Amino acid sequence: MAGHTGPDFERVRRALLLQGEPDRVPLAELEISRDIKTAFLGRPVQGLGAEVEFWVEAGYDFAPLAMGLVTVLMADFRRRGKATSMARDILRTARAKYSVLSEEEAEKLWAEEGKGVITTLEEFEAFNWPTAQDFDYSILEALARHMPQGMKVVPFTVGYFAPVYFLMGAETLFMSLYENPDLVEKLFQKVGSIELGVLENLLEYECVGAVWITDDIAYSENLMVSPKHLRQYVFPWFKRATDLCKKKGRPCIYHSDGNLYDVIGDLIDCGFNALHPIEPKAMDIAYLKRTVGDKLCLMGNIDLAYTLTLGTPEEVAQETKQRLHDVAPGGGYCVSSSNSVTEYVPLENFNAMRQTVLKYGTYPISI
Amino acid sequence: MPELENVSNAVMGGDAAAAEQATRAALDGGLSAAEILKQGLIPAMDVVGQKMKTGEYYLPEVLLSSRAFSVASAILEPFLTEGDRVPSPGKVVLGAVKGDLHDIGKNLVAVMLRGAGFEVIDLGVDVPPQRFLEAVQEANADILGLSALLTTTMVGMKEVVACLAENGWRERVKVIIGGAPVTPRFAQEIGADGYSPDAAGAVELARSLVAPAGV
Repeated sequence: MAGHTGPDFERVRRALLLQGEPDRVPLAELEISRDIKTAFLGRPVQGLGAEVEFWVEAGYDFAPLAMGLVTVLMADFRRRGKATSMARDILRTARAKYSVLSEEEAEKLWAEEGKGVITTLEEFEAFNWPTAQDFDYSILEALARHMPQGMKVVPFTVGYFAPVYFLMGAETLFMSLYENPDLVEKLFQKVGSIELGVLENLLEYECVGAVWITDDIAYSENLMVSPKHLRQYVFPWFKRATDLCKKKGRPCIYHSDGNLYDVIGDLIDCGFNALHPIEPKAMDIAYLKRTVGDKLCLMGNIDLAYTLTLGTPEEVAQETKQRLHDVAPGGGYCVSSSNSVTEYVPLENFNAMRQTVLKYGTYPISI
Repeated sequence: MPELENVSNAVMGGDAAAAEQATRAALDGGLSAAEILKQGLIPAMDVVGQKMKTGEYYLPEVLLSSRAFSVASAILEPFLTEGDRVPSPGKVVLGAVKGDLHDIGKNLVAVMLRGAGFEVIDLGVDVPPQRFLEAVQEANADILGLSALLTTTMVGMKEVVACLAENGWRERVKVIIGGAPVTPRFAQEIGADGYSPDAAGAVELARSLVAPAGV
């Protein structure tokens, strides 16, 4: 296939570090649903070998991998030892027909938004906190062993804000910012030190090409909490995280849904190399390219809310070409969905996005 | 009037204890419950809505104000006679659609609507179409508000509209929708009567839908 020359993380690294145009616009995804992977490969994706095979065949230069607290919070039970025992108490579940690839109802996990599992100091003290050492890092190397030359692992961690609202319940956290700041401070300290410890550990692995900090702080219209609170509780941790990455020579990608305009300068000052996923409903990627494209690599913006999920493959191809035309010249852009490739994305639409990049994403862009 | 100003300021500042104190002081000072509600609490929540819309207030500030409003309204409730009750602009049934457990946005819409005097029946999350229909029929609701976080659950809104239509209720209730993936285009596609990007906008939308024609 045109443009599909095998994995080469160097093109991702060049894009992330704003080192001009690589050979082709990289494809990047934080998560792709198992249903899509299975449909794409034509067989169940079981084991690390099949996982790597999917990412390679689909044209990606790295495979993402959840690490740290996200594996506890999102109930990713894979070989996590002590940390696995907590997840079911933290999240809520619902059953519905979510997938477009299957008629079956499935279970989905949802964050607790009202009252979470930690709302008092006693609950904080009694919580079965994992330490950074409780997580299993050998999976990084195990995954890398299946990878061809030039491919890397990009671990993603859930960050420093989201775990606090997962654990407290979002509404409880929001009220507690004013009414129980001592507990809020303790939670941010605890979560921050665990996640930073995880980051420090995973950066020791050669196979790690970059790090993705996924930490939603916004919704479509605005930030969830004020910039003042973010500067007080969250951004100092971001700075520590990017400092660690820089020390180890790894680019650091930041992911948050929603409208981040009010803190774009802060995120740049925190030291992030790239911003993902730039939801079209919330932010204008062409505006970001003009205003901060020399400071941040931009990733994403292929609309999950409509085009990828409800649009036709032609619409997906058209939108992808438009992004390549508007954002890719000069480098500093990776094509990705505006969140993740969920089970309700039709396979043809996923294929239209990646095939458009493989066909038209070779530099210099001439669309 | 300083008593009313104190009530408004306490609600806008999100201070429930101060709102309680100011409301009691206003009653003790001889103001009627209806005056405090109409001239103190409801205008304060309007300001909160505006501040949310302009980006001055974030979710914590709106939640705190909403709670202060609820505390103050509860104090006034026993003192409101039938005659001086604020006429409710309408009844709204709200819920997150089947398969969707996300409810911060919906809860904010509920409190902002209550803040504007609407009667709100909140069905919670993961609500099947039939349950929406029953609640609309039971309450003879003016407006049905649907919320969804994911595109896949958002599509379920279409089923709710269809369920209303099949049972002859589509023309009897206005349907408004909101949530992360929802757009005006989607609202149009499924035949909803309106879409709002946020809770403050939902109040304006609800007001416009229940306003008599030509107003």
